[in-house]
Amino acid sequence: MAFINLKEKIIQAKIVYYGPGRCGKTTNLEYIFSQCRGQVQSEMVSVKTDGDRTLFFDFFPFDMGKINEYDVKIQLYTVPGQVKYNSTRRLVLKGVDGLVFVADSASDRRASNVNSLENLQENLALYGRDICSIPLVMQYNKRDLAQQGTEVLELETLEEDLNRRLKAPFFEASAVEGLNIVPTLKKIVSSTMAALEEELR
Amino acid sequence: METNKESPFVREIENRLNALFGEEAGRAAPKSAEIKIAAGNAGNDDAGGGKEDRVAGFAEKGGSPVTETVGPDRNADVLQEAADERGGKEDRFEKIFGALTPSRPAPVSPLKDLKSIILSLEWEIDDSILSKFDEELVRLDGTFSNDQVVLGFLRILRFLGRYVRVRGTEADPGSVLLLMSAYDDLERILLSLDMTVAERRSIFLECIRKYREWADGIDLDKGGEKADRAGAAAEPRHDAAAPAPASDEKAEGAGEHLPAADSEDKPAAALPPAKESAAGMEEILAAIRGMTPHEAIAYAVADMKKTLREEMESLRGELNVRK
Repeated sequence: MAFINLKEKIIQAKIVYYGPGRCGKTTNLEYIFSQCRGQVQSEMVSVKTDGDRTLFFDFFPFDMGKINEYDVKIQLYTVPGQVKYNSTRRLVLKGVDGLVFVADSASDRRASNVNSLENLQENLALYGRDICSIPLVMQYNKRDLAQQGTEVLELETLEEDLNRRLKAPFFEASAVEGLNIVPTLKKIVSSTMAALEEELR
Repeated sequence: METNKESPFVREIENRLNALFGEEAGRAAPKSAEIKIAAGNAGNDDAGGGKEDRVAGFAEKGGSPVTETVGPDRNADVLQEAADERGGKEDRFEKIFGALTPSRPAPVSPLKDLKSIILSLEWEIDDSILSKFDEELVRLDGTFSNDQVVLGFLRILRFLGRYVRVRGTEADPGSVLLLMSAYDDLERILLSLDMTVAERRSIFLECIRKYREWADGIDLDKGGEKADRAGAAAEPRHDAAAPAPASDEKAEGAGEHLPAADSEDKPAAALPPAKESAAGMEEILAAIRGMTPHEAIAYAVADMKKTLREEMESLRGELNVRK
């Protein structure tokens, strides 16, 4: 649940980018950070391993300023995608308000995507949360791989594998090119805020 | 989570996002234009084509996904909005929120960077983060050189950070809690615009009391022995804890005086900024070069103990003076 201080008029929402290892979660955040650098007074915190993989999580807080007298703060997190870091993923999911599931479009990552989504569902269940009741945006990343001759999964396949039941809004994206990264963010932020508003009513 | 009719609040959120990132930010240039924008009910984003997009309605109580169909009318609205925005014909913000209080960016907190580091510490404590923590505190020392209360908090934080760094996994768990608590207090006094001097002082004295209580309850020597056993691992940590030798005497005297601006500078000198600490490290390395590994470790541990004692003495002295 978001941190909401009615007296001080502060709303703080936590959005987590989830997905299999090397699907581009950190690249998403890095792109977002690069796009708003200079307008948002905060830094991205990233803890990497030697191999430049996310060891613990990436964290990028940004302040949206005052909106209808409320100070709105958004905290973006990623989780380490590797299977062995499940306890960390659980920890980062605590108190999550919105989720972006980043799927890897490469054909050979099909099973990883499904496993990661199932893992997300299980980890949310540990907190008594239902994946269907949390604002969620699907992002099918690495669509640019097709232009490089790498076999990618068809959009229909990704939808069938990951979004058949959830029917969440989705974006085809390329984090390295910045394609649809910001629209994904905009969508999840507005969905999350709408959900919080609904919850407060 | 989607609502058919967005509230003014959500619309304002979208406007703010547009202001931060731009309407078309993220759209790749010609090469990627082939990739269709497949956003199910993308609100202020360009929604794809005329097909019916189905989106999940997560707001419904009860948990199960409820889908709603976004019909042609809605799509037409979205497309019209997008077209208007592209053509610059409509300023959504003014149209919708003209009567509301004008938005303004939130003020930048001087503790912005320190807070990021503190948040990192809540998740994981490692040498690199503690090193950043130390550097940031040194920087803030300069920023708040005329604010004795803030300087006092910074000293407590610096000591606790160095204690945790030196002790590593052997650190007393209460030290991290105390560090977080001290940071919260510091943030409170810095960000509360209407706080009186007396209130600030009272919060600071309470923090010193907690610090003293904690310091009285830990055994520095015991930790030192453990650090000794840790062997070579203690050596790189020495860098953070060890003062430049020439500054040791200043630190010893610091607690005996009322912490006026001058005396506050003394502990700062005893805890050199990053640049100086590199020179200090070289001196230490030179000193231990001719020693056996065991002697070098013993030297490092002794120096570490000395630093910790000095810091505690200094803070105790300060507390006595303030009483």
